[in-house]
This record gives sequence, structure tokens and C-alpha cells, in this order.
Amino acid sequence: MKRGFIAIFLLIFYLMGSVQGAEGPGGPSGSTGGGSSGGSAGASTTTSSGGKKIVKLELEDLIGNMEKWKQSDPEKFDYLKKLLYIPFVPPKDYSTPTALIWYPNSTEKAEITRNEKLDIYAWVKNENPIEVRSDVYLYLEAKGPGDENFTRVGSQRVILANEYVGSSNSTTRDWSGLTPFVDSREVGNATFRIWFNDMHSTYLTDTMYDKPYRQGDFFNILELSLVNSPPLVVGESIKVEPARARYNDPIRYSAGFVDTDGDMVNVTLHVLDDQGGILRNLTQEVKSGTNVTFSATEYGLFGEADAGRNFSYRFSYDDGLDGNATGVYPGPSLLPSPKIFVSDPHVEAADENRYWWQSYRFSLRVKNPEVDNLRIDLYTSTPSHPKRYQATREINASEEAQVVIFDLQPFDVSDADESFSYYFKYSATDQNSKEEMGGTSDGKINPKIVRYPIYSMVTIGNLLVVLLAALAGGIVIERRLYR
Amino acid sequence: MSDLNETVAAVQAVDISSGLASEGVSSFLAGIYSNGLLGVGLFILLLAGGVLLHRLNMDRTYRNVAATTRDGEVSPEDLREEMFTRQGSNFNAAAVVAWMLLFAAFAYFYFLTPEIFPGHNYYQMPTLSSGPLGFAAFGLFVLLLAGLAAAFIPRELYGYYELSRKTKVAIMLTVPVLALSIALSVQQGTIFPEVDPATRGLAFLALFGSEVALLFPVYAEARGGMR
Repeated sequence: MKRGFIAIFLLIFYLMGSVQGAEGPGGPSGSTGGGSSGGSAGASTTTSSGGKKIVKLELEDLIGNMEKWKQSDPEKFDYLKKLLYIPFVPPKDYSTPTALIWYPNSTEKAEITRNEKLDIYAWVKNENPIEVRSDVYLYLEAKGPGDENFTRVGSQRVILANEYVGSSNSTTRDWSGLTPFVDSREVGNATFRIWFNDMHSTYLTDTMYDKPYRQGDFFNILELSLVNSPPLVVGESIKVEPARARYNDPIRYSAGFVDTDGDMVNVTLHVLDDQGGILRNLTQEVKSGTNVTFSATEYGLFGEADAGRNFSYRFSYDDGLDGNATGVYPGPSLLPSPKIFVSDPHVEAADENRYWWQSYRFSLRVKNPEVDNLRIDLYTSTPSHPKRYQATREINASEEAQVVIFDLQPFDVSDADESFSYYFKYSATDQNSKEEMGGTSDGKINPKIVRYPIYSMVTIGNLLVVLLAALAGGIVIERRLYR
Repeated sequence: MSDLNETVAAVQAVDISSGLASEGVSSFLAGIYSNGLLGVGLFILLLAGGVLLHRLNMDRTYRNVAATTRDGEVSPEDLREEMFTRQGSNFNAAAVVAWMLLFAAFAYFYFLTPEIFPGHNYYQMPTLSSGPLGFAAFGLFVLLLAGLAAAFIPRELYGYYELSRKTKVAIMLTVPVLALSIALSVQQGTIFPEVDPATRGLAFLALFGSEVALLFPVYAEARGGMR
């Protein structure tokens, strides 16, 4: 600033001399205001006083002349600049301020992540007397892994001459909450330095000192290690719902991802066809700790032609630095289009006693207009025999509804006094997109366990067999061992 | 008139008291036969007692003989050989049959229906018990197991005692009695889940009465020896 005022003052002084010289013949060429009289805005004003002409130079006029000279005679203009330039010479006893990086708790925080907010300070000491001090302008500069040059991070900080505190003549400026490497694609060394200018010279803290400086949490150059933790998938959160659905049902893939560094996670869903080939890849970016959801309807994943096919999927995920992939999960299984119409599952015991040894009549009404050799299996379930296969019937296509009947003895003695359920399983998809239909018994199976009364030939025969066997055994043993 | 009233009252009192007594006996019996652990324990206790007393009887006899022997010692084996008495083929055959049927009747009584041991009974083998020959298969299986023991028990228990004719008859009569017990147990199975207490009690008495009869010579000898 001082230099600017001095230059303007000298220029005015010089121009005044030129103007005075213009009174004679042949004034300096290019002077626009030299011979004008009477004031008008933007021009020199000439007045007479005591026989002398006094020219008052307007600032606008001066600037206009300077611009004109610069264009018309650049060599002389440069010469003029040399004449007017007076280099600043600091006082003899001026000492350069000391600037260091202050990074509190540097030992614990030597490793940083991309999303970690850094609090870095500039500590500046200026031992010059206040009248000698000049303003100091500072920038924090950082060089991340893989970077060739430092770049400025954060905004400029300024220390005025009167802002140094106490007897230490030092002060600090902070850059809080910095995340200079948030977009870094590498891990490794992260280096910080301070650029500063004290109105006399520009300095870089990594080069201005003879040797590296580190004392406690104060550094001339701060070197940290940028590290990264790969994102993780929450295993149990991986699912596709519903796992069995029609092709146009709202099928949703979802999974939860966590990145301990708080990085955003790029998640790609790979939809695999029934041969394991990749059908589609869909990508979303999610925050750590949240679930990503891909809606099949939104992306138009499945069409009518996919009905009846079994798909699978897997996720791959990364945070820009490290990535991983899940295993292959089955689903969804798309239900085939309905082929048959079933109704009225029914069971009836041979009589109201409902003994376990009786025949039971199971029936199902089936309308099967197009499937030949439609296979229908009957299963019963009791506590002793869960999901017990009983029999199979096959029917051919017919325009008329058919009643499929199973007349059989499905139980044994261990099922006595138990309730039971039953279901028909068929080899085509019904109107409910299912392949089975069933029901439960109205009541329990009779608790009676023996089919034959005491007076029946079967029971008597059993008793006789036992008694005769004992008798025969006794005779044989007596003959063999007692004689 | 007052005499008549007193007589009627006395007769009624006797009827009531006898009814109460029979009812008490029935409930006591039911308490025993429906308690599986008690019944099985009692059955084993009687058997174990018989074996123990038989051993004591033999030891006592040996000591008595040894005390009266002047010219030297008699070995237990020699004494056993000398003491052994043949009881006759018919009796031996009947005794073997009776012992086999005893174990069969025991199994039919306690392990045929789920009533006493719900988790351990013949119906835990549904494939076998659902068939028409299930009862016979169950009985034959038990006879096969019991036959090994029954083959030697009569020889040991009855070969060293003097058995009266009545005792022999009693032992031989256990065969039909045990057959009755088995039949009654099977009858209980056929009406399950209903229970006929009279039939059940009778089967129980037939079973344990037969066991007592079969072990009677041992217990009687022990009682005589103690006297």
C-alpha cells in the first residue's frame, strides 16, 4: 500500500512538471489535457495565480493517460514503470514469522479415513515489534496419496499485526472440520503444509526450515496415513421378497451395508437367470448403515415370459477403495401361470367312529382343461407321521371338472387319538399360483387302538399262538435240558 | 319288634361294613395295579427275594451237613449233586411253561397298553401293533427272551426241595391261571382306552398269585428253616 501511494505521488509530481513544460511550444505528445482550459469532468483543470498557470490533474485523466501510453508507446511505458518502482526493503532487524502445523492428539489420530473430519491449526509466532510486523496470509495445503502436488484446502486465514497474544507473540488459526481426501481413490500417505505470506515473502513450511521440525503436536510438515475399511454386508439382511411370486408381483431385493468409515457404499445387484448367467446389473449408492432396495417393478426386471423360471442373485459392493461380493442367493421363483383350478378338498371316514384302521375317503375337485397326466399326490400329517405320502392319482385334460378320489387306510395305531391334516400336491399351478391344497380333520381319530375284539378269531388265534408256543417251548426245554 | 329292628340294623351294618371293606380292597388293589413302578418293583422284589432265600436255604443246608460230617469235609458241589431230586417230566415241563408264561403275563399286563407306561409299550412299534398278528408277535418276542431264564429256573428252584403233591399241583395250575391273566390283559387292550377294573384286578391277582405259587417252595423252606 505504501509503495502504491509513493508511486502515485511521484507520478503526479512528474506529470505536473510535464504540464508546466507544455506552456512552451512543443508540449509532450499525447497529453490530452495539456492545453485545455476551463474545467470539465475528466479533464485537467488550469487556473491562473500570480501569473503562473497551475494545472490540477484529475485522477480519471491520469488513468486515461496511463492507459493510452501503455497502448501507444509500451517501451516508454515500461521505462516509466522502472523509474517509478521502488522495491520494499524490510527493516534490518525484521525476522520472518515462524509458522507450524498444530495437530492436537497427533499420536492417536495418525491414521485418518476419508470421511474423518480433521481439525488442523496454524501456529504462528511473530517476534517483530508491532510497528514492524506486517499482515500474514495463510493457506493450508494438502497432498493426498497418489497426488503429485499440494492443493489448497480450506480458505485463507489472515493474522493482522495486532493479533498476536501475550508475551509469546504467537497466535493460531484453525481449519476445522476438513475432509480433504473425501474423494480419494487411494490410501497411503497424506501430507499437510502451510503456505504463508508476510507481505515481504512467501513461505512453505515444508521447505522454509533447514530440517524437519516436530515437537509434540507441532510440525513443519504433517504426515498422516489415509486408511480405509472395506464395507460389510449384513448377512441376514440379504433377501428377496416374496421368494415365490408372480412375475408382476412387487418383488423387492434388499440388503443392509455398513462401512465403519462412514463411506458411501456403491451396491450393485446382479440378477442371475436360471442358468446362472447375469441378466441385469443394477447399481445404487447408499449410506452406511442403511438398506438398499431394488424394486423389480421399478426396474422392469421380469416379464410374462419369465413365469415359471427360477432366478438367483448376488450383490457386489464397494466404497470406492475396497469392495467385495456376496454369494449367490436363490430367488425369486416366479410362479407359472395357472393351469388348473382346484376346490373343495374334503375327507370323510368310512363311518362316524373314525377308527385308525378304517378307510378314509379324500377328494379334490379339479378343473384341468389343458394338462395331460396331471399328477396329484396325497399327503397326510399326524404327530407320529408328519407329511406322510399316501398315494398318487393322474388325470388327463378335460373341459369338465373332475373329482379326484383317494379311498385308502392312511393311519396306523400310533395315530389313534390324534388330529390330522392332509394336502393334495399337484404337478401344475392352480388359480392361487400354488401347487398344493389341503385341509384339516374335523375331529380326532378314535382313541381305540385294537381293531379286533377279544372274542374275534384273530385275537383268539393270537392268544393260542402264544400259549402253544409256551407249551411247545416247555416240552422242548424239558426234553433237552431236564433228562 | 325291637328285636327284629335290632336284627335288621345289625344285618344292614354287616352289609355296609362288608361293602366298605370290599370297596377298600378294590381301591387298594387298583392303586397297586395301576401304579406301574410299584407293580414292576413288587414283581422284581418277589423274584429277587426268591433267589436270595434259595441261596440262603442252600447255604444253611450245607452248613448243617458239614457240621455233622465226621470223616472230612463235603464240598458244596458234591452236596448239590447229592441233594438234587428229579421231579418228573410232566412237572418239569409244566414248570418251564409256567415260568415262561409268568414273564409273558407280566409283559402283557404292564407293557401292552399305553395306560401304565405311555412311553414304553407295545404300541410304540406301530408297524407291528397295527397288524393282525401283533399280539402274537409281542408274546413270542417275550417268550423268546424269557425262555432262556425259564429253562433253568425250575431246575434250580425245584430240584433241591421236597415238593408235596399239593405244591406240585399248585405250581402246575399256574399255567392256566397265567393264561387267564394274559387273556384278560389282551382283553384290556381290546377295549382301550376304556378300562375294566374288575378284569384288570383279576389279571393282576392271577399274575402275582402265580408268581407267589411258583416261588412258594423256596419261601416255605426258608420259613421252615427259620423255625
